[in-house]
Amino acid sequence: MLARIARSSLKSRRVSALLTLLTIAVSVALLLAVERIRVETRNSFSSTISGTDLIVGARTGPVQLLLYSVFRIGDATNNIRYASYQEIAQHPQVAFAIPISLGDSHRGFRVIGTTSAYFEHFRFGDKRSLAFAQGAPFADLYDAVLGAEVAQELGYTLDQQIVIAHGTGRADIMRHDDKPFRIVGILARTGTPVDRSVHVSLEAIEAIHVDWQSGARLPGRMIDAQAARAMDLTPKAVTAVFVGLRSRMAAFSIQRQINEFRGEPLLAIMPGITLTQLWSLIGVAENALLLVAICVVIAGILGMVTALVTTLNERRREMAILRALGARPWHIGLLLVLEATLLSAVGALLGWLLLALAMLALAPWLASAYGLFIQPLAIVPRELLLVGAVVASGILAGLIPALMAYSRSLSDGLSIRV
Amino acid sequence: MSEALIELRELKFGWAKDRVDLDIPALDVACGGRVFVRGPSGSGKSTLLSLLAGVVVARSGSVRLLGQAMEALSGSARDRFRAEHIGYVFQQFNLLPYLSAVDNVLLGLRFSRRRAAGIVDRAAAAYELLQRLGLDLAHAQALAGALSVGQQQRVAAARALIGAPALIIADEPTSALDADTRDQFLSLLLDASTAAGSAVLFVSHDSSLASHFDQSWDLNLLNRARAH
Repeated sequence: MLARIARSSLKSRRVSALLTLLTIAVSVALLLAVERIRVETRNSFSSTISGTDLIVGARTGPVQLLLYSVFRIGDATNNIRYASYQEIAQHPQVAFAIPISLGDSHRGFRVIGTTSAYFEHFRFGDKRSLAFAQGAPFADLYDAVLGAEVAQELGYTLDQQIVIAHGTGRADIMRHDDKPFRIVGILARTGTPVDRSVHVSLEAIEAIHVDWQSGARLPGRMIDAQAARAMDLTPKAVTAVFVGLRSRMAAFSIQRQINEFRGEPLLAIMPGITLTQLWSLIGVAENALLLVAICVVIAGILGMVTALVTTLNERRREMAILRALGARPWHIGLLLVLEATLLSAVGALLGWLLLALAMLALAPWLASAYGLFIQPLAIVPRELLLVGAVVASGILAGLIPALMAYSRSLSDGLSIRV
Repeated sequence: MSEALIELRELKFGWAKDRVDLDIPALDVACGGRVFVRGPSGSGKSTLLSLLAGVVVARSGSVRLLGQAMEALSGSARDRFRAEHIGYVFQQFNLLPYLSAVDNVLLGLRFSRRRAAGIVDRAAAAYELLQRLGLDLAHAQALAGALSVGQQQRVAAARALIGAPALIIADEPTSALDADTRDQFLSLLLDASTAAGSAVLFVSHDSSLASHFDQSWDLNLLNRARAH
């Protein structure tokens, strides 16, 4: 009965109750969104590469190497010699070595020079390998394989010609337009940065740069596409190497051997460990976001308390009636706690729904723009915990108007003082 | 009928320490009686009703209801006693406006196990009482806030009467009503309380109503704190 009174009473104050619900709903949605994105970012990043035991690059920071080699974020400051790659690839403990060469782009999408080992050995997610939606790996010097997103966004199909630009800027200012490529394959969608990459052979990268030096075309030394075929196109350098070992047990010793390589300064990282370092870096920003979201929730709950406290005066008559009927002061307090409970529980539920709707609407965009693959309707245990904490704080905060109503109903008794 | 419902003896009470607002040597009401108390504002009327309802207790002397000394009970025990034995009707605005009339009546049973115990079908009992007091089904199901003042007072009377408590305290229940509605309300209230076997303590400043009652007192004369 008391719950029914609480419900009807709230219903009679529809507008203020709805606004309070909305405040709580929005704050809960924000809190859950921060949590959801945090979790999904981690899942998404962790599933970008698997099966690779070591990543080798020029000596730099481990996180930086991971970012530019796997996530295609930022640029490498140095390459490593092709001979170093060959030495690593021939190490008896190495099962496979995938060289990648970065630095060029096509309309904002990164171009990756690599070998057929990439299509054979690269693994992502739950040890899944790359699959072709259409076509096959590159065979000719001027063949290109597109990631799913590149083909979709630019509307490319097999056999189309594309031109690669020098550098990784958005505007293709310096273009290798004398040596166009033919699209021979389009990869199936992976939900990783592979979808946003254009793949060509290492030799092709070499070929488009034969008449270039230090990032500019050499004047008067034009070598056309056919002439380049006749030249020695053995690569001189690569950006990084993904290494798979025969035994993961050897990872630490191979890592040390590479880090102590005599030929040139190299850095080998284990992707999992470096990812953990990355999280501890990002964790600071995440915690700040979470803190802000928690503050918004607190503001929402304070708003509810304010709304309840301001009604107390106009509800003194209601309290006196209940007291005359034999309600004890704690009944009056309980009534206010019930209202706070109802508001925060329904508000939290609305917030969750709001987030689900927003996620449903944003899921395609998050996937294409950030490679974030989220599940709009998932109920994560930690989110339940957060929602529970919000409702619990709402109930706790409801004690403020409840105690006020309690003490007032003690002092007012049956007389109605308005 | 002759069993004592209310016994006041040498009752003294003051809202502030150094003041006496109410000083009544003796007052007795029998079970099922109809008592009119003439009490203009300032006569100690609210104080007397607060003492009878058990919201406050006497500073000295005693208030006995159905043989129970109120001052011997704890605050929550007095609340429970009020729920079990007293139906209360305010001057006006008696109802929770966002509940239907019949739900307001049922509230009268919410805090009392004893009053609810004798009733098999609570809703039916509430509708029957409302009908006895002249409210049809449509009005009984309407939101209390949508009813006229006269209708609201009848709903309040039904709420006080449901479960047949020993005492109905009516605090100026007719002061917001016009003459016709007032007389109609009064006779409905008295008839229904007779049917329920409840005593009525009716407080009003309007002494013309006294003729409807068995007994009539003037609080100005009764209260020694006012007499000097």
